[in-house]
Parts: sequence; structure tokens; C-alpha cells
Amino acid sequence: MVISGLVVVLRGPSPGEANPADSLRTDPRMTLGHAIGANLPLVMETEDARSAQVLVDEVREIPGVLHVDVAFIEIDPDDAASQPGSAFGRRRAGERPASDFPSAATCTFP
Amino acid sequence: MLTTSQTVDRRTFVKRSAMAAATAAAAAHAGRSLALPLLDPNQSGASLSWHKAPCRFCGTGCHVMVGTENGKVVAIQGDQKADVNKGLLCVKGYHVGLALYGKDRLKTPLLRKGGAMVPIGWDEAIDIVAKRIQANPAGFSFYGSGQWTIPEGYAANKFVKAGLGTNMIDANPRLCMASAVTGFLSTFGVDEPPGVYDDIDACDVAIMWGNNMAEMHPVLFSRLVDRRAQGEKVTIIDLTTRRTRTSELADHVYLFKPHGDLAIANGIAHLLVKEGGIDREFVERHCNFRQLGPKPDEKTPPDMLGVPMSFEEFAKAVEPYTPERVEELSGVPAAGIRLMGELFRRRDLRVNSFWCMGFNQHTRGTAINCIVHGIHLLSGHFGKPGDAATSLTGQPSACGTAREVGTLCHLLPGGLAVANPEHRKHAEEHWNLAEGRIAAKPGYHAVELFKRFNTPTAEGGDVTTVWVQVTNPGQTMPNLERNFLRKKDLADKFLIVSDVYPTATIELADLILPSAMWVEKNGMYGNSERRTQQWFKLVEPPGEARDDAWQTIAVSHRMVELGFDGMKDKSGRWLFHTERDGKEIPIWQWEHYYDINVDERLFDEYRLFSRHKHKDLAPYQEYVRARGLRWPVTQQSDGSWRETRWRFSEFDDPYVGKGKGFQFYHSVTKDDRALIWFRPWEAPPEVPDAEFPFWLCTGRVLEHWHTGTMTRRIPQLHRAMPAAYVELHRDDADRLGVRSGDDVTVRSRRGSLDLPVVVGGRGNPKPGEVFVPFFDEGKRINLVTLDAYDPYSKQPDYKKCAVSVTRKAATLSACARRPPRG
Repeated sequence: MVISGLVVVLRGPSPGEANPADSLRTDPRMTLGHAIGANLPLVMETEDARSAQVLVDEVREIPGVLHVDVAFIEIDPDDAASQPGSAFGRRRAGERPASDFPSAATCTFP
Repeated sequence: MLTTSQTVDRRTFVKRSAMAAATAAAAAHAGRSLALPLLDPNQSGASLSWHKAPCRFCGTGCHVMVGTENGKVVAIQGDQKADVNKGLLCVKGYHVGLALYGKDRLKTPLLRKGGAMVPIGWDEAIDIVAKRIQANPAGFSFYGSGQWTIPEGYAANKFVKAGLGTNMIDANPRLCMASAVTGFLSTFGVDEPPGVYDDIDACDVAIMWGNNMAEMHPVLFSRLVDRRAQGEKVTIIDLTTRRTRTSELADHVYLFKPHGDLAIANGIAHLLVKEGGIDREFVERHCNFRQLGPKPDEKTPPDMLGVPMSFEEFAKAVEPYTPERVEELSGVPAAGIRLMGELFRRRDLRVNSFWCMGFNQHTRGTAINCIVHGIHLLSGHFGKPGDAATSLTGQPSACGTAREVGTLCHLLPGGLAVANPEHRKHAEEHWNLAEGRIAAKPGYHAVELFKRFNTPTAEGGDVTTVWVQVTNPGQTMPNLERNFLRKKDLADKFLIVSDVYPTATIELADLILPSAMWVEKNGMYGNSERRTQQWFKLVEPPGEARDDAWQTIAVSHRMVELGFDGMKDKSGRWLFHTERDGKEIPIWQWEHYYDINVDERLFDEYRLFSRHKHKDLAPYQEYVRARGLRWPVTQQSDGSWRETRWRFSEFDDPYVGKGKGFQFYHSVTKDDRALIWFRPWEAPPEVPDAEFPFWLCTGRVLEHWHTGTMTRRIPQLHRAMPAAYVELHRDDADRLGVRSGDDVTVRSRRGSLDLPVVVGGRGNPKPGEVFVPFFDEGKRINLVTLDAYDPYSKQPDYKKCAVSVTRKAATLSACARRPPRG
């Protein structure tokens, strides 16, 4: 499971254009926060990193969305399926999981 | 394995954290401030206290508020009071506190004995370093970085240039922005940008010259995004060799051939001349034209001072750079060159150019920096808010420490040069040294330093001991096999590494010194816009880890104890003598190091240097009160201190004479004029051919900072981007018969590396080009890169060399031999 905190920067709506927040709100993977000016915070939950990337790309394509900033990323360390492995894909057979990185594996919160 | 309830708790906590971080960022975008959540759900927050500090990572210089509780950093918040980021942070900044807490922190000195690293005490470690240097001072070199704090860099610089009487110190900004330095020096006679980040808020046109600002300097990019969101018209042009996140917001994306940037900039100059785009009044009053003189011999480049040329000669020189010819050289359509020429021609627009490593890591780095300054000067897009040529840096104190403190082999503090007798005299006076103590000959620049360290002593490898602090040359040196890894077979070479985590460099270390990092010590940084920042130590370093500056000072004092008089001034006093109320404080002893603020003592000595080149710094205590101040900082009649935003412009720079409008008071030609250089396009040193048919470009990614030694220990960032990869264009992937996730071998004339393929990821190179990030210690792309460098800045070119790409474990196939399209 990947949980991302995003800021979606909205353009002023063009005539006849739907409010982009409305289409985001219908997606069960999104939890919308309260917009501050043109900036809409939201939390996105996806199965894995690739799905997260695909979804962010889809958000960027929504009419009225100007930009998406990433403020937070959390990938479940115990869920192998969510490990990116290569840049945006699942970890492949034989590839070391993130937790095998000799140093990072020992990281914990303070 | 977590239980269900723990899973729910964790998920809820993470979601709450994610929403709080996003809301804080959204609020910061909108100019408001919100606290970020605690990093640890078990922290109560009841006794949390907040303190200011600059972010540890890039050169933007964002300020964070650091929440501490029970002796630990437990929360991070963007600092609303900071002009740079106004409360906003990027994904790395929000996680910066976790960089302290990887469990493999180095905690005790370690000495290599019989192939194993054995713990030793600090006294023994300091003694070993001191004796090693004392045995052969000329064979010793310090190698640091733009992550050295200002006082740390100052201590190291003084140690070498005053204490040892050599100039054998260099720093990794040589790999990062040395070409920006030579560009500023060639154009204005003095280093660092005339403008500031305020230009981002005022420009009408933002041109990204090979600069992926959206991912590398995201907080600065957000200033452009915010303006767009508020309905302002800002035209963004992305000149790039691969599509990136920056391209997505750009109005015009022009993909150019590697090395084509010189042709593009000359094409704009051509159009300015041809189509009435010259701001004649500005140019006639404030500029001279310049070109390189003849080469003294076949191997030696012309000197950097150049020779004069007239405007007519300049016009003739840029005459061949027609839009059509530039299209051939660069791949950018002639219409695009015309569009940019038109934007520069218009006086009603404010034009801001931005660049970073794309220009600087370039065998023609000095040249391209000069040309872009030149087109801003030619067109008068200079020195007004929004009209600026802005070079961005990659490290938090590349400007503050390497460039201003002068931790490079040719510099002295304050922008002074070792080759200049008058400058050496100034330094000898400030340091109370005997006349002639400071050597006139520059030391070895970074690549040369490591080449010599990796060459047998008997074969001219005259660098025998290197002390590396706060950097990772084992991952960043180009052509690593030649310039770093050979050391392992050279028994008489000795590598000392001060660091916080095990790194690629430490693999070959003979002595490891554990360091304190970031808010585990006092510090000062200087960011990309001349802003000097200060913070206090907030938490204790782990184990026996100690400040880098203390390590330098302790070795210096040990050398005095061993009878090395070079570490004393001409009055016989130790170079780092520190006293309060007439009584010496033994700062070489760790238990007394924090009896006084050593940073303040060093900074207030250093700032005396800053006045020679009008880089005036305020007293230390002024920085305690501020969220950074941009130099020159000058004292006002009421005793207050005023920073300067636009240098050389009368309306803001106190050193510009009344009525002059603009004054380049460190002019190379000593007539208060800037230089507009003609520098031709030339072919790169290595180009793809039948054997190595692809261009390789290397760089960074959003999640990781440089070699990843800190960000890879932040679980969120590491899991988001755990390993390096190679980006391929879809056509090339099809031709090679590979798809995302398949392994390929990237090979150059210097080395090879196996990497997984990414097609259609966040970056998209053109056909015939590949991109590999350098953050991954396990996949060091610098085994492959070229160590050719700019003849003036000595900065290597990490952005282009020729490679082959083949399917892993397959013999070179016919399809791989076929030259790519494009």
C-alpha cells in the first residue's frame, strides 16, 4: 500500500469546465482536504508505486489541474507488492527489496 | 508482521500525516503556515520546542522549523518566516529530520588494520592524522564540499593555506558549479549571481536552460506554479535534452542535442543583432565585447581574460548562427530560436534564465555561462526585478562555503585568489602570517587531485594523503575506476574520511572519523541567492561523533604539540587560538569545544575578508536573528544591517555610484563594465559512434539528494525510489527488444553497469539518448562517465558521453549496433 500526500494546484475554471475537485472526490482512492486558495491537499492510497504514478499522471491530466506537488510518501515496508523495485514498476524476481539495503534496512523512526 | 489493529493504527496515522503534510504545503503555497505532524506517533508533543535551521539538502536554502523533544528531532515544519520558501518544503525537506536517524550512523573512529576496520579512540585518531600530515605536508590534500558549514570550510581552508602553506584543498563544488563561477568571473569580474529569487516572482518569461527545476528545486518551481494558479501570465520555456516534470508546465519544450546549448544561445545573440534587439544605451554605457585570444600552444587554452573585440566584430562572429544553422547544430526548430529571440528583444517583458548542472557539468561550461550572461546584457534584460540570469546550486552551501569561504585550490576567503599578490597580502594580514607564507601556486583541482592520489607515488602520484569531509568522491568522481578505485592497490596512500554514514568512499578509507551532522552542531550555510543562514546545535550527535570543524582544529593543535610551527602565526600564536576575557579556551579538547561558540569566533574572523570584493557579511549575531541575509550586508546610519538584493543596480546596491544606473565595480576591464563574450559552438570531446551509439546523461531524482547517503536512509524516500535505472526512449527500447524492468548493460570506453530499463517514466529522453541517476551506491554510473573537463573551471562533463546499451547477458546484438535515430 502506498499513501501519498499531494497538493493539487488548480487553475481558475474555464467556462463550461467542471470543477476538478468534483471528479477527484468521486475517486475512492482519494481523500480530499480543505482547499486553501487554489491549492487542494489530498491523500491518495494505491496498491503500489506504479499505480500511484499512474494516478498522479491522471490527476495532472484533469482539466483545471495546473500542477501536482508531492509532499509526503509512505510505502508500506511490509508489503512487497508495493515496493517499486525499478523506477516505477513492481519489484522483479531476484531484485533486492528495499529492506535489503544494508543501511536503510536498519532505519527506524527516532 | 503487524497485527490488524496495528495495521489500522499505522494506516490511520500515516494517512493523517500525509494529509497534514499536504495541507501544510497547500497552506504554504497560499502564504499561510501550519504545523506538520510529529514524525513518530509515540511522541506526545507536549514538550516539543521549535527552532530554525536551513534544510540540509539542496542549494535552494529553504528554512525549516525543527521540532525537538527529549533530545531528538521529532517534527519538521516549513518556516513561514523564511523568504525563500514561505513555509513550503519539498518531499525531501519534510523528511529531513529522519536523515539523522539511520541506525548505521558512524559512532566511533575506525582504523584499518590488516584489512579490518578496528575501533580506536579519538586521541589516537587525531594523532594519526596529525603525524601523517606532518610527515609530508606537500603530499596532503583536504577535500570537502558545499555541505561543509561556513565555519567548517573556513577552518579547513585556514588549516591548509595558512597552516601548511600549500593550496592543496578543493571541494566537490568543482564538480557542481565551478563553471558558473568562471562564467560570473569572466563576465562581471566577481562571482555569484547579481539577482535573487525575487526575480522568479517578477519575471514574465522563465527559460529553463537544461534545468529540471520541478524536481531539483521544487520549492522555487512552486513560485512559478503559484503565479500561474493566480492567473498570472508567465511563459515557461523548457530547453532540455529529455522531457521531465518541468516540461509538463512549460509553454514551449525544445529538446536539443547534447552540447547544442551553445548554438542556441549564439542563435539568440544573432537575432538580437539582426533584428534590433540590442539595448544600445545599456550596452554602450555598461558593456565591453570580448573573445578568447590565440592559443599559446597546441595544448594550452587561451587565457580567461580574452582580448577585446568591437561590436561590429561581435556581430560578425554571431552572423553564422542563423536560426536554420542553429537548428542543424542543436535540433531546436528555427521557429523556436526565433521565438526566444523575440522574447529577448521585447523590452516590455522581464526575462529570467535559470540553469544548474546542465550548463555547469559541461566541457564548455564557462563558455555557455558567458554566452547566456551575454544575451541578457545585450538585450538589457539585466538588473531589474525579473530580468536576471540565475544559476542555481545543488548543495546547501556551495556558495556560502566553497565560493565565498574559498575552499577551492585557487581561492582565498572572500573571493580572493591565491595567484594575486595583493590578495595574498590581505590574507596574510588577516591571519597575521609572515609575508610570503601563502603559496602563490594553486593546488590541484578535484579531478587532478584524485588522479594523482590514484597514481603510484613513484609515477608522479604526489598526493599521498587525502582527508575527505562531508562528501562522497567514491561515488561522484567521473571515471571512478581511474580516479578513485585504483587507490585500493596503492599501499602508501592514506585516505581519511569524516562522515556520518558508511559510503562508497569509506570502502577504501584507512581511517574513518565519525561526524556530527546538521542540527547536531552549530552551523551556517550560504544558498544560491547569496543568503547567509545560521542555526544552533539542537541535539547531541550519536556515540563519539564530533563536529568536522573540531576535528580540523584538534589536528591543527596536535601538530603544534608535535612541533609543527606552521600552525602558528607570526607572533607564535596558534592559528585557532580562542580566548574569552583574556583566558584561552582549549577548543581542541572536545569537552571544551562548546564552552564558547566556535562558529561565531570563526565567522567573525572570516567576515573581515568579505569586504575586499564587496561581499560584506554582517556580524554573526545578526544572522541569529534573521532567516538569512543576502550579501553585501551593509550597516546603516542607525546601526542596523541591510541586505542587498540586486547587485550592480543603483536602486538597490549601495556600492553603485549615484547617477550611474549600473556599475560593475569589479569589472575585468577595470572600467565598471561587464563583458559580453563571443564563444563559438564547438563539437563535444566524445560523440556517439557505431560502437557506442547512445548519448548518456546523468543526474538526480526528486526523492534523493545527490549520492543518497542521507535520503536512502529515510525509509519513505528510499522505498519510493530504491534503485537506479536507465531511461530509454520507446523506439530504442523496441529496437533493443527490451521493456521496462528488463536489465541492460550500459557500457562506455571506461566501464560498464547493469541497470533495469524504464520506458515512459517521469523522464523521457530523445531517441539515441539515455539517462541514469547517480544516487545509487549499488549502481555507480560514474564507472561509465567521462572525466573530460572544462579548461577554465576544471569541471567535468557528467551530462554527455558515448555509451552502448545492450540486453543483459546477451552478446552485442545487431540491433544494438545499429545507430539510433535522432
